[in-house]
Amino acid sequence: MTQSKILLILLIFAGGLWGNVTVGQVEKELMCTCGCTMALYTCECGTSEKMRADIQGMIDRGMDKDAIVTYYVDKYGEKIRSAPTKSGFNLVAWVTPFLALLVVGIALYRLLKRWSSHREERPEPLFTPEVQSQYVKQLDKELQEFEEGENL
Amino acid sequence: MIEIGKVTLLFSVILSFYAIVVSYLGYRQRLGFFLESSRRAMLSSFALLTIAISMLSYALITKNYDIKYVAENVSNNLPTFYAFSALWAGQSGSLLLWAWLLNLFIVIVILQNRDRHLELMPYVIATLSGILLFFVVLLSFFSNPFERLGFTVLEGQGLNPLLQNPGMMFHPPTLYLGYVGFSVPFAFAIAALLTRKLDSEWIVSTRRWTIFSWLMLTIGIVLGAKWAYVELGWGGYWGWDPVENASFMPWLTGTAFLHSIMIQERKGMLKIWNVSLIIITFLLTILGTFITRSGIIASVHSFGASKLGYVFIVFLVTSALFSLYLILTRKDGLRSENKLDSFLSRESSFLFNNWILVGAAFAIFWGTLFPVISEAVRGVKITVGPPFFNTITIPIGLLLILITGVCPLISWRKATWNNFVRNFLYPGGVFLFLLIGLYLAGIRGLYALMSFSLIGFVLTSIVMEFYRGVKARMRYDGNALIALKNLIWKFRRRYGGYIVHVGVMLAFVGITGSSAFAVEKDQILKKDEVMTIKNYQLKFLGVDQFRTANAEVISASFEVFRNGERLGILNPSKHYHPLQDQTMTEVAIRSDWKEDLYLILGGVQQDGSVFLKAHINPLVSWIWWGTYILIIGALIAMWPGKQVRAASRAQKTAQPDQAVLNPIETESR
Repeated sequence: MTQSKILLILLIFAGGLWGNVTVGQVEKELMCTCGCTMALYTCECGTSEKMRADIQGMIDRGMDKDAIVTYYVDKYGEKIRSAPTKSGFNLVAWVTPFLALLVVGIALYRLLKRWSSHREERPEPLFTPEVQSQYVKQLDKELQEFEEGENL
Repeated sequence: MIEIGKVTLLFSVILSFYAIVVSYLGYRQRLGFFLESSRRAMLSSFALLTIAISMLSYALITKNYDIKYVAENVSNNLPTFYAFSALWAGQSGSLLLWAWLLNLFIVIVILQNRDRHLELMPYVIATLSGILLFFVVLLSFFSNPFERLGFTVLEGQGLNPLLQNPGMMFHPPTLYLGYVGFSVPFAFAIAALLTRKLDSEWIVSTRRWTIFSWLMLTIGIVLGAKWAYVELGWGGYWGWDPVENASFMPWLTGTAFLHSIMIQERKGMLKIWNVSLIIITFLLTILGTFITRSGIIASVHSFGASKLGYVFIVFLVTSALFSLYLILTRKDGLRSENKLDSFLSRESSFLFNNWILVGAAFAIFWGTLFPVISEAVRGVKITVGPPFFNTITIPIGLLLILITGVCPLISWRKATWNNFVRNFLYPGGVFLFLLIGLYLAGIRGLYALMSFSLIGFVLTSIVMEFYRGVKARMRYDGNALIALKNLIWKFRRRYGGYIVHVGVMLAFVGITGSSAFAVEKDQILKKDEVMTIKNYQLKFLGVDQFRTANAEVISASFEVFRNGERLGILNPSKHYHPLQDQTMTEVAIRSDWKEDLYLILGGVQQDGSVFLKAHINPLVSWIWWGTYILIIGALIAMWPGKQVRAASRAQKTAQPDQAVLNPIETESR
């Protein structure tokens, strides 16, 4: 008795989920088939209108998003999807940009660390620290002025 | 007219080839006569191409159907305004515009540098003439705009209705100005490599060209987005089409270049990187053209598959290999002159900015070409569309916003942690305040929360920069407004750059708002029925039918109310163009600073009821206003200052010495 109640609730819930699928959600997953090469949700041609009506019909018949997309993939091939699947070889498409960014980022971090830790052999200072600090202050001031005069 | 047009193109081929040879000989033989001759060849070529483009324009306006290009792109009832814009609506016309603009830029470069950069100029002219040669060869032998139709027609095929929009008058030319403009810094970079003059001269001399090209590319991209928003009628402005991507990639690498050249100018570092960046940017501009014209990747923008693709690929590969050869053989001269003073420095932050910008360009490049890779590896055609690009680029975009805010907080050369934390205090506080405040206000999307908070962080860091600068200047100027004016005017490059950043951030506000909070609804409405979307009420008043010069129009009228207050009437419509047998959707938009109400007429039924789609797109106008501010900032940054004019004068007065150093000019005198 309890089991059948749970089953009933699950079915109603599942039905509710199916009912929540909208044309808008499905059309984001598909390309228009008219040859315009646009994603369905960005196309306003007659073919796209018909596709939307067909999708609405499938939703009304109780099909969920995956089932509708699978129907179109079976009919038109993988190119009907607006983005590659996240499995198999297609995974390369998704992973590569982030992987490249990560690898180059680490390399850049290490390079900058190496560049900034570079210290050349310096000769003994010619001036006392007090005199030197005056020159350092003056140098800093002039560098600051140089940085500000950058309109060239 | 047709024969004259063809002859002008052929002569331009000869002159471009001649310019390459004589400028090369001029440099090698140190004979100024040859250099002068190459200059004159380019001036003559420009005169010829001006004749050619004027003749084609005239043929389009006067509807001379003897020319195939005219018959394919205009029709009798097409207004003159659009007939002229048909110049860049088709394959060969747009190539002619490209070649003419390139030749115009060559002439400007020649006139600008008659007495300057004499060592570089022969190879600059040779490189630019080489690029021009490629385009005029295409025009003469592969896609001639003066090709005769061969039979008589009384009516042309007309202009694609999608292109009959005022935005299309300006979108392609500005985009081309950007694309073609990047040829100039590229040519100077190649000249620097060839002559082994690898200091910062080529960068300083082309900085304004780079900003100009970047600005034009930016305006072109935004105009394209605006056109898509108004004309394509799906409620958005960016569809991640391969050709849109092709314009965005050089924009990203060009932006990286604009930042990284500052490090070379200041510290003599990143020479290889800068040369590589401008080469990549140039190659990406050609790649964009290749994608549009080859048909290799399906795109709504493409001119259709053609044999031009092979010619482009040959040019692309040759240019890439030649550039690579030059870099490899000159790598000793491209070594950095200095090291970084500190890891925590503006220089490092610029490099991280480059990392993200080039990373974004790579991600888009990868996504754009992945269908080709997939087909080659698996033999399966796939599509890489908006969901992929949105997923990939949003996190990268957020990183970019973050680094835009961090850069001004770090000093040049060496920053201390104390200094950095002190500078970070207010922007960081604003970031946290916005993050918590927006969360409490009900915004739950992670990306939107992060985006708005980071934009607040960036804008605060820029405001702090202005505040510190004004405060310092007030000691001399007294009044805060005068101090602000002097601050911007005296340090145009820096503060113009900050204004550009403000513009970009405002555009990001618009992009985030319209992406994260857009609402849409559709409904079938009978006369006098009301549709409610958010706080808008749309009352359907009825349908009108009428004819225009080009189309049969069905227009629906909606009385628009917001919270009960009447805002006016909106008329979304459908235009049927019989000549092309094409139906276009013309949207109706009511825009204010907060949001756009965007109406699309889906269709009209037999009983007079209509299918209406309505979108509320928040903050879209911020994108356009952000662009206006960006333009102002870029103009300030590129405005020549006293120093530039003085430097220019100094170079001219120093000419006798230079002439001794450079026998070319001595000979030419």
